[in-house]
Amino acid sequence: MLKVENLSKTFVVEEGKLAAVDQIHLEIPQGQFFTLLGPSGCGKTTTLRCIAGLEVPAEGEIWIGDRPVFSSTQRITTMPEEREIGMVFQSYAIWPHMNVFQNVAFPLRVGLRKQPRQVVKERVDWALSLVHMDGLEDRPATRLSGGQQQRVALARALVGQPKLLLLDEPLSNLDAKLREGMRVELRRLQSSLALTTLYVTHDQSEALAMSDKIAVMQAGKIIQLGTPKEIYERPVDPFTVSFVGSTNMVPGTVHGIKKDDLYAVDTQEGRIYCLIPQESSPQSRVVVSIRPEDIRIHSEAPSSKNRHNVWNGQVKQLVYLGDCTQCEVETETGIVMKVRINPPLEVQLGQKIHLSFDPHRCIAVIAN
Amino acid sequence: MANISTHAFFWRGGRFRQVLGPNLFFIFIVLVLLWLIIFPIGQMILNSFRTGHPAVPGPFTLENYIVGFSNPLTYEMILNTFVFAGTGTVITVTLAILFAWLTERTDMPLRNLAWSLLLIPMAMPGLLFSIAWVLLVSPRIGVLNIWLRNFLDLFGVELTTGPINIYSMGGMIYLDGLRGVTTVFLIIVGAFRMMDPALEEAARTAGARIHEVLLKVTLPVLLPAILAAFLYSFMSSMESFEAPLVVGMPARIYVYSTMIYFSTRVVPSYGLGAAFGVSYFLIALVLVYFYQRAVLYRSDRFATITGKGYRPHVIPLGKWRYPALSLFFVYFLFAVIMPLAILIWVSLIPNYRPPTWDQLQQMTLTHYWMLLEEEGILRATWNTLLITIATATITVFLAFFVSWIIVRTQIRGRYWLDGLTFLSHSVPGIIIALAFIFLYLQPPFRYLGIYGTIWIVIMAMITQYVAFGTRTMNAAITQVHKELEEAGRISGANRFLVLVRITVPLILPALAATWIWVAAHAVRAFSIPLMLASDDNRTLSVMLWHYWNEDQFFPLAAALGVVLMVAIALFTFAGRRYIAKAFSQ
Repeated sequence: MLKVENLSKTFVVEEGKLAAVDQIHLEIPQGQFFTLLGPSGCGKTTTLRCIAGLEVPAEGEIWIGDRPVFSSTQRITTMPEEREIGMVFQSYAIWPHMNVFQNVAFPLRVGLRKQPRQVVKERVDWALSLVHMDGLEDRPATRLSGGQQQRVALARALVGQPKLLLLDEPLSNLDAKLREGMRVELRRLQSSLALTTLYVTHDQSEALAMSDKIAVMQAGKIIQLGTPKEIYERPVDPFTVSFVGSTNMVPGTVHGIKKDDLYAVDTQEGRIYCLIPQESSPQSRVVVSIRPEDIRIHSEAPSSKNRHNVWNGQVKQLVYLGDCTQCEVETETGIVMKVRINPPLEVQLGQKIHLSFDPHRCIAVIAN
Repeated sequence: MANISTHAFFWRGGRFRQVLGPNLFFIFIVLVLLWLIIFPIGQMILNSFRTGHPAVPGPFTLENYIVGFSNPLTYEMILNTFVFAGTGTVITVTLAILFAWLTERTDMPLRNLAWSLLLIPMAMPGLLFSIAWVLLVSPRIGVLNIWLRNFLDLFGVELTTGPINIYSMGGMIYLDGLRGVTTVFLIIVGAFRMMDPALEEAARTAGARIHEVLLKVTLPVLLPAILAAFLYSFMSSMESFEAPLVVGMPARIYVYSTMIYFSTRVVPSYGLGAAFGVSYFLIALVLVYFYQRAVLYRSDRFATITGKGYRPHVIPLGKWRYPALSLFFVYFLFAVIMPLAILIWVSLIPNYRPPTWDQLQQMTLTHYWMLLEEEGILRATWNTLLITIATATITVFLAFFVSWIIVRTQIRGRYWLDGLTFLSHSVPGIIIALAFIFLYLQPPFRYLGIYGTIWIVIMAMITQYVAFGTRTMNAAITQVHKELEEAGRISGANRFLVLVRITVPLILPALAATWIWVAAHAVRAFSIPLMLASDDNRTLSVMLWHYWNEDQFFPLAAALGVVLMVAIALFTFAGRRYIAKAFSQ
């Protein structure tokens, strides 16, 4: 439904040209929920705005459906008002001088999607009921809460029955509880409508919870593209590992392959065993990612059966988070490991303990 | 790869019309501004190098500059201008700071009343103010002088004239100094409100007493703002025309504005007027440059962080509370009550006499009836209305479009628009009028036949006010979040529909405020209408001057003045909220 090839956009800044979007390729089939995930300045919003037509790319091809809306090779461009898409802005952009009905009805009253009055009424009612805002048609926009504004923005994006829905960090201005609820609702709505959706966010838990596919972006490029599970468990780049979820990154060199696809990697704390999804050879420099929730704490040294990946250390800091406790453990050679301890397990500050981690849960990526 | 957004409008689907639209529009607006600002100024500069009547351009020569600047009177005039502006400004700024401090930082009672007492004087046109004070303290026939002489007589002091002579530099400074207080007061109040009150509170908790806080913290912190206000007031005073005209010229005291008027409309020696105009323009540019630097420097170093209407701790005045308030009343007395009283009095008596009990019997409304019958008045009222409405409306439109291009489009060169409007802001009204005279008296624009019509007045006033309009519009459009317009585009509206259905409704208050502000100024305008006056385009203020100066028919002039003031006061009162809002930006 959406196909983007070779998309590039540069901005001129003081130091020269900045490649905000650098040769992006992506394809979203009908009905898929696709997320662009990355930190501020990675180019995700610029990419979205190019697809919306609010920015003109330097080069690239963009197809919505089977229609090229932008092509630098064929010299075709389409104005945003002609792309027949729906978009929810980060600020919601609800027009304060109109009421809820007028806001939502606007796309059906202007331009290409103009409809007769009866149709407008029906569709607006439908859109408002989708977002549970029926009955509030006459409310002035200035009297809406943040959450309500967001729903109205969504209704307005959906009322024209677009082929593509774009969402620019729509949940970032909501408080935590509301955000979690809206996540679920948004996803449910999207799948019931089977609407092709492109979602932009910097919040990795949001991306993981809602998406069918995630593209992790940094400095204008897509670093990794995959399902949430792939992104989280099989990262291919140090950036992806560190950005998605928290983790411990331990540098090392590859020693060789053992059995079961496990590699031996030599680190400053000794030899550990882990998985390496990419091509690698002995002596390659890698970074091993060990997630805090995959590390187990033992007060006694674990039994020597299958005694891989065991380190000794001392508890240096404890942070109580309610549902778990985050620990910082310093190993014998001074590596600080973040470890998650779930109740009812407890440790004391300064306690000497043993850490162990399952080799199949450790992923090493090639260092750059 | 080159940025293709400007080329993209030639592509298929680029909606040639739509993207070309803003660019064509930009060119149109640039041409309008060129025509209103650059052409006249350029013509004036050219004419300074020519002698004779502009309709018959002579050869280029330096004669005007030589004649003008080899005459010692010229330097006396320049000195007068600076002395006049400087001293008047010192008076204005001192009073304004005092009033601002009293209303903003002390517990003086009835603050709202004090504000009104300071804002009401704005309703009185400058010309009227000067005329009224002439009626009060003209050396021989001024009412106050007559009473003072009678009073001094009791002590055996006999005078035939005076003791106060308004036809003097002192008189000019007094009139101008008093008039400027309101505007500078508003500027300084704005600065007070932007200042972080914690600075003063820290001083007080450290042990400083009231006057020490004022002198060691408040004033130094506000110094950049005070400097900016000082420069602004200085520039206004330099430009000031009414007081020097009414009071200075009879005493042969010239300043730049009156010298230019005199050279161009009275003598007339057009080339000389142009030479003076060019030199004044250069001085104005230098002052504006310093003003801009002072304004840029002042803003946010000590700005309020919370900005949520947090009231600072007020300084208790104790027994000085009501005396402080009385200062406002004294100001109001001199700025409004006395001039208004004498105007009403003079308009009601058949011949100009000081008020006595018998005279009260002779009060009559004849002069007011006369106004209705004077043919010139009807014409002038119509002209004034037309000029005011046309100026305000066209200025708002122009300012809106200029601002929209600057704020909302990516057209390269849009900052030149800002620069052009800024240039018009730095040119004094007299010079604008002067430049317009030259542009439309000379071929080829002479053949448009605009000189002497109301249109030349309208255009000159647009040039004067468009800079203010652009500033307000810039602020207003910037406040409309870009995403509100983008959401409109995504929803299917093209650029024009977005403008009409989303942007304009949202900035309607700013549009209205600007319109009212420009109209309020246009209706009181005097220097431009007088410079461009002809039999066909006289405004009411020009008629007022005509009755006063040429006919010397004081009661009629006074009657017209009173009517004018009442009308302006009503209009200003009705739109007062909008005016305050426009000013706070």
